[in-house]
Amino acid sequence: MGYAELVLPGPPPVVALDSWPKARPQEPRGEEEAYAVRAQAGDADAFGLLVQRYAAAARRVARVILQDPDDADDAAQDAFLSAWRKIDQYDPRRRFRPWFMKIVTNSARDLRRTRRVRETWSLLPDVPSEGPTPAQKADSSIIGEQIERALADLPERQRLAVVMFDVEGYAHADIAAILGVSQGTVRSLVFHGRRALRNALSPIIGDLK
Amino acid sequence: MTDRNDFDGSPDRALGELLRQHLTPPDEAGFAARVIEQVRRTPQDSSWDVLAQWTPRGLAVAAVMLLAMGLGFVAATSRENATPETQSISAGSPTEILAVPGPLSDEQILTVVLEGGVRQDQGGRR
Repeated sequence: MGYAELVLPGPPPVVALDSWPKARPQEPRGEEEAYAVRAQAGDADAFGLLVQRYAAAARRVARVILQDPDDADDAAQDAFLSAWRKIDQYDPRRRFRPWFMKIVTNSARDLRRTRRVRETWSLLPDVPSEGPTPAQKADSSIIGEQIERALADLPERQRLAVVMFDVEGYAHADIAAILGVSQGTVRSLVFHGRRALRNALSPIIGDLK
Repeated sequence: MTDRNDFDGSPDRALGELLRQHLTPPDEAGFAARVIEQVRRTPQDSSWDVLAQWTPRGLAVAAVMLLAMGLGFVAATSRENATPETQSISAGSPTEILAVPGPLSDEQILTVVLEGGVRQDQGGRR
């Protein structure tokens, strides 16, 4: 076989840069994500809109972890300030809600570690005086006590899973990302948590229906 | 409530509403206003701040690496220094060992005895 018959491999084909898949543009997914992008540019007003939208949810979730309304408010406030400081780390292609709620749960857990949480909870938040009558207050206080006790009897992850799913309306996938567990685990947590709460609160829920 | 299937994948509205009423704290607007006021006073982290957060860990890792490298260097140096001396003692003849002034170590005495014994045996066979 002569040299002329040798088939030498040619140079690798040149791939035009235009044919390479392009990175997805960094476009926010929705309204909240757009606010977050504005906040990344330093717009405190845009972040304020997120604060207004998530204040109640952040306080509820923090309360589920800390079991104390005052500590929950501190944790929620820490979470908002932390989110504002670290807003550059937020990826606008992802949804803002799970990213922020993970900060809330971390803040609440950090606070629990660093501060001795008061053992006696205030069972119900302060209610404005023009609200319910004393009899209604007494009833709601009893109901509140039962709910507190039922929640306190659940493991923390079950409490969080039920509240995030049934109260806050998060999807299983989001809760899994926030808690750092699989979706199957979240389903199991919701199932067991719900069952325990339904058993404990069935008289109250029956009255409401 | 009780007629619901516990495996149901949709939210339980009755339970959710009950928990929401109980867990929702009062004065949501006041809380949000206080937070927003604090946000306005709080600067956002710059990239230097993010790097600064990693500084203590980076310094700790660098210190551990330096210590490990230092220990490795010391070990290598002491091996290099020790090897010729040790070799001369262990590989030297009994005469050379005995010629060194000063007291003998246990190892040197053992070498002299063993080496001397071997050489005597070899001489006897001849």
